[in-house]
Amino acid sequence: MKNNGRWKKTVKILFARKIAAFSAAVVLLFIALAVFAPVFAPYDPNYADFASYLQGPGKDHLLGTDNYGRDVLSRIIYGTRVSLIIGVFAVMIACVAGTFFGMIAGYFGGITDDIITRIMEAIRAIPQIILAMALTAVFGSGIRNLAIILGISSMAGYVRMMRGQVLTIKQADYVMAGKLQGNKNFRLMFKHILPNSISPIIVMMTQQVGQTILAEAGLSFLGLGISAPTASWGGMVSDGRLFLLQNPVFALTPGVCVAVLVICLNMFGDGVRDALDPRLRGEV
Amino acid sequence: MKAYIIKRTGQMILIIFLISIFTFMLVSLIPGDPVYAMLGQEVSQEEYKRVFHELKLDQPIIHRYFSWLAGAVQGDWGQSTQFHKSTLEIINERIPITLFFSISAFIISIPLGILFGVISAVYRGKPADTAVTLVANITACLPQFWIALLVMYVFAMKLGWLPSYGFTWFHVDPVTAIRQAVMPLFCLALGGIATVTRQTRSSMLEVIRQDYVRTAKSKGLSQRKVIYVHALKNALIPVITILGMRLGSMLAGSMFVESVFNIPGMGSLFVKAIQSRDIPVVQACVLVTALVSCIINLLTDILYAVVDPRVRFE
Amino acid sequence: MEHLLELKSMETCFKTDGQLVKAVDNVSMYLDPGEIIGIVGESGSGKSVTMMSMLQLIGSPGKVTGGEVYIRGNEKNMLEYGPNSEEMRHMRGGKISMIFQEPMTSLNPVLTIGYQIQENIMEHLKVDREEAKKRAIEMLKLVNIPDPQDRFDYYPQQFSGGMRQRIMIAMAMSSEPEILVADEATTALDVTTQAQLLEMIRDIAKKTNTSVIIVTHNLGIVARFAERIYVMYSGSVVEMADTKRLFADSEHPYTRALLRAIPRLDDPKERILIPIEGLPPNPASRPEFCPFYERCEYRMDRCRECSKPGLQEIEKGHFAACHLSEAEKRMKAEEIAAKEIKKAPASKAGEEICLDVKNVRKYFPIYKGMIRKKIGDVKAIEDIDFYVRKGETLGIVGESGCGKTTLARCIMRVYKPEEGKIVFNGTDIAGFSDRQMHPFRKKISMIFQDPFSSLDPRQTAESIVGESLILHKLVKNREEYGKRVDELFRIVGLDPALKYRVPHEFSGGQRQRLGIARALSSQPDLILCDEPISALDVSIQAQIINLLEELQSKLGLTYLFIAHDLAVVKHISSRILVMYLGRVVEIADCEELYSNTLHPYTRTLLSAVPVADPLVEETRERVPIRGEVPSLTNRPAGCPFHNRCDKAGERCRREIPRLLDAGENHQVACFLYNQ
Repeated sequence: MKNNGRWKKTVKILFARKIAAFSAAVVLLFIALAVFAPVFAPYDPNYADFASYLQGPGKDHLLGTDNYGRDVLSRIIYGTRVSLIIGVFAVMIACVAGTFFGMIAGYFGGITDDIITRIMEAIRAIPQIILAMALTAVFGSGIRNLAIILGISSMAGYVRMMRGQVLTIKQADYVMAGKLQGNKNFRLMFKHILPNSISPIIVMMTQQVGQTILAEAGLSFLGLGISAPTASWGGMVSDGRLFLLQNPVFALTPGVCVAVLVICLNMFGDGVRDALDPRLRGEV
Repeated sequence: MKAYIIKRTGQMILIIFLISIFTFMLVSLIPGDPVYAMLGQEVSQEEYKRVFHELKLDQPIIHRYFSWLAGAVQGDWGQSTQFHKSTLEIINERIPITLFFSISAFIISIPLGILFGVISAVYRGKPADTAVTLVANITACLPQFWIALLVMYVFAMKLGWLPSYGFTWFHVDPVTAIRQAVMPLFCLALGGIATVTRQTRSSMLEVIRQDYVRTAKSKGLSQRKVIYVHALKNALIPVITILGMRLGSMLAGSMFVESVFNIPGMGSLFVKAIQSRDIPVVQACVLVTALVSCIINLLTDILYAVVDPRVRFE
Repeated sequence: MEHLLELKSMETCFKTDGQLVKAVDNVSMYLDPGEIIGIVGESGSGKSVTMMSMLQLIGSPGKVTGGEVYIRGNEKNMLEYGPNSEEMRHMRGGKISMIFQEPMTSLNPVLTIGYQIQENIMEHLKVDREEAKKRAIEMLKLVNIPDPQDRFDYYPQQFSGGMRQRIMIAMAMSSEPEILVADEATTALDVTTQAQLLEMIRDIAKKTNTSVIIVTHNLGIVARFAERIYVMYSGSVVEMADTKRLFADSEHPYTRALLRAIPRLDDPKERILIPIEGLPPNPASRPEFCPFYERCEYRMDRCRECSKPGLQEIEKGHFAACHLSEAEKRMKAEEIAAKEIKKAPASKAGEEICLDVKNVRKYFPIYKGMIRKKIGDVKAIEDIDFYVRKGETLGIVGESGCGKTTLARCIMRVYKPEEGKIVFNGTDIAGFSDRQMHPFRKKISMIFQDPFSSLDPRQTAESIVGESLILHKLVKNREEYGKRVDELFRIVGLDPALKYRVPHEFSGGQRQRLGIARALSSQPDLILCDEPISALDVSIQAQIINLLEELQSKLGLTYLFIAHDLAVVKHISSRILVMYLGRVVEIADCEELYSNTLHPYTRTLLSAVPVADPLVEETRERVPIRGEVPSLTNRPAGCPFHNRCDKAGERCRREIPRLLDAGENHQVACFLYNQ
């Protein structure tokens, strides 16, 4: 690949930073937990042992048990799956759709731009979580629906960013040069404009995964996301809040997991941004 | 300036119009028969007919939209299917509480966020900056409902300093009102402070690099004047643009806080309405939230023009 | 005699990639009261950094690592005070004021200009608000800002670039400084504005006995305005002398090479530019020996073996940093002079017309309000009428806003002209659609001004140069494609081995070569050169000019050469077209235009361009310049130039003069002649 050097350099810079490397390691750990959940989890997450419900942390159950006597640690490990799958797919949906509409709006301008921009502004006027909730009211939840809903509700940010990028890049002489050489619109967009506007989109994606995971946890907490008995972090906090006095670990640890994963994703995102931004590398 | 305000208002009306289309469409987007979806399968024939007629499902969609819109403008937002009351009435009971929390938290978080952001940017790389940035970055990543639970666990359950739930208006019982409002407000404001701090810091750092700051320094002005007269005013401009969004997320955050502290606001209403597919209430909640955040957006746009003369002379 | 300001062995380092790079290396200079000195050097020579270091305005990652600064009235080395100390702040702004390059970004956009000037006065003259306001208004009057009372409350964005720079001057002078530093202060402005402002700075300085340091890359400016000059190269001063001596009898090989490389307005047509080969050394890997060694025509083995030369006094008041003795230099100079240098044979302009532009007009609508109601037009260009013969170069000159870029874009058919014909090789392309234009795209190419933004940063050099080959199916297969790309690289003097690199791995000059190779790839007949050298350093410009001339004669190309640098245009063009506010005011053969200038605007323009020779500068006719170029939206009625013209009569205010023949193949649009 011709741009290999660039990406290699970016990755090198990224991992040269201790914080970014550390957070990448933590994120990888979570991914491993999600993929190999059956290996890591000491119990079946849905196995209910009513005899030992709401136990505090102990030898048998590291993080205790929930109100049905299920092992909290195992449920947390399985919950990682839900968070990561929804986080990643929602961001991919938002990114692909947002980039596409943003590029069209920015490139063609005029009435196309007006229509797309107004619709996106309308979407942005409704807070993301409220929009997502309204959509769950209509479409219902479940992993697939949640990924789509969270993707749609966070799309406007990508549209806005991509449109801004395209408007700037369109002014660059090399786009004019491309046009004057006889490039058609389609080729100009995908060969010259898209590759040059992709870095901020990548940065936004890495930073948005965390936000989406937060939103999913929020929805599940409100009982509008993943429904029982599937283990999800938000849902566990919601179940556990009623038993705070008996076993606070049950309600609070899944929240810690959300926080740690999101913090690490964000720090990794900041690292990606620093590595991709030539200004911070001292190249410009 | 006047033209600018008119233009912005026009755009806002257009956006609200688009949102109204979206909220209206919520009914028709429901897969299958919306009446069954809303009321469940075991609905009586009469009930079915009444709701079917109420939703005007027998009429063409455009017609339905406009009669719905005409009703909405006049305050007729339909009957709530779960409470069997007029939606407007229910919203009227609930919204003041939510607005009270969101707006108070909003007002608390802005000056504090700006203050921390400026401190952090001015002492860049020093311990104060490291501390502020670390706390702000972590806070911004914490799930709001979790903070609320934690705070409740520690201060209400373990220490017993504050009541763990409920809401009372200030004029009814001031002491209880304050004791009940402390934790929800703290949780709501925390996220706002973190975001405003981060935004202020990065925009200050950006502004400090600008040519006009170099000019100000080259005039021999004191560090204080360079920062507070020349840099801060410019740095606040991007901060203002995100304020509109902030109130929106306060409204959203209020949902979690209301749910944890059992506060009878619009947030808990919304959640209940969704769970029971009470579409008129869902529509009303979305519309009201959007309306409030649009109005705040308009106000920040105007504020933006006041602070930034470039907008005025465009 | 005690100097007003003295810098001793200044040293400033920048930290990049964990490496310390010396941007300023052992620079010493002085300034006497009332003196105007110039510091010339290319980008990266350390001239601005020296000034910023003196005022302790260097921010991270830079650091002043050594040296002393003395200013009259203070015994101590100013660098010993902290950057924010009382003493330093008193010197900065109080004793030494500075004007920067970018007028558009150097004033604070959210504060009124009045406030910004007032603040400076209050800080340094210790007067109250009212007093300061009075003085600020006086200062605005001094720099010819109309209605200073009202404008006091305006914001920077309500002024044009030239006006903003006047405001910067007013602000800088308002604190009664002893020294004014103008750091490329006029570089971003048009030539006429540039001349106006520099003359104003000189007049004010002489009146108030302020010393001035002019920092610039333009040798013409220092020749016209400075009394003594420092030449900087790669972080060090290489030569210092008073202006006349420096130009008449330069000692350092770099100065000599520079003077041979730059085109001058008073050049004869046959003058050959001799480029300085190579590039300035990368400061991170600067050699221990003379930094100019690699590019020096005078170099001897000794230069490589000795450490970097220091400044030596050659005659009284004339210093140069070179190891060679007078005798050695004389010997080398003879050797160099003996080398035969051939100018590329001028291409023969045929009689055939390549491009015929007739009566072209382009307006841009102005919309207002919510529903985008059209409220008027920006009349970008009107009544444009000219032709270009095959194989010739037509130069198009004019200041910003004159419409030269719009004209170029109409010819390239980026814009569709509202009216008129653009006949290219016999076909009128003015009304063509994108599809109809496609076959013509390969026949008309363009070379852009900015070599950094005109190449797609994500493509390799190969695909940039070869894109047209694919788009227009000019090659049959992969192999032929590779061969043709290699050939194009060689034509423009680049090594084909570099073709897998991306643009940012090339230097500015090399990038411009890539741009030229791209323009040539489809074997065009006509190439539009839009300011192709103005973004390049002076030592590189000559390389590109020579390359363009060589290619023209080799390939029989026709050029449309757009530029604001009249010396360059004169050097390269056979005919020149002058534009003002969207109209053609004069067209003539090159020599004719310079020797028999007819239009008052052309005269103003020519007289504003400084010539890099103080002797010529002394004797040149000066045409006073009035006012600024008006904006296109309020173009004066009648002759567009009448409100700035000394010879304007009643008729000029009412009627628009048409472009008419004035004999000798010379056309002019002015009522003073033949109308």
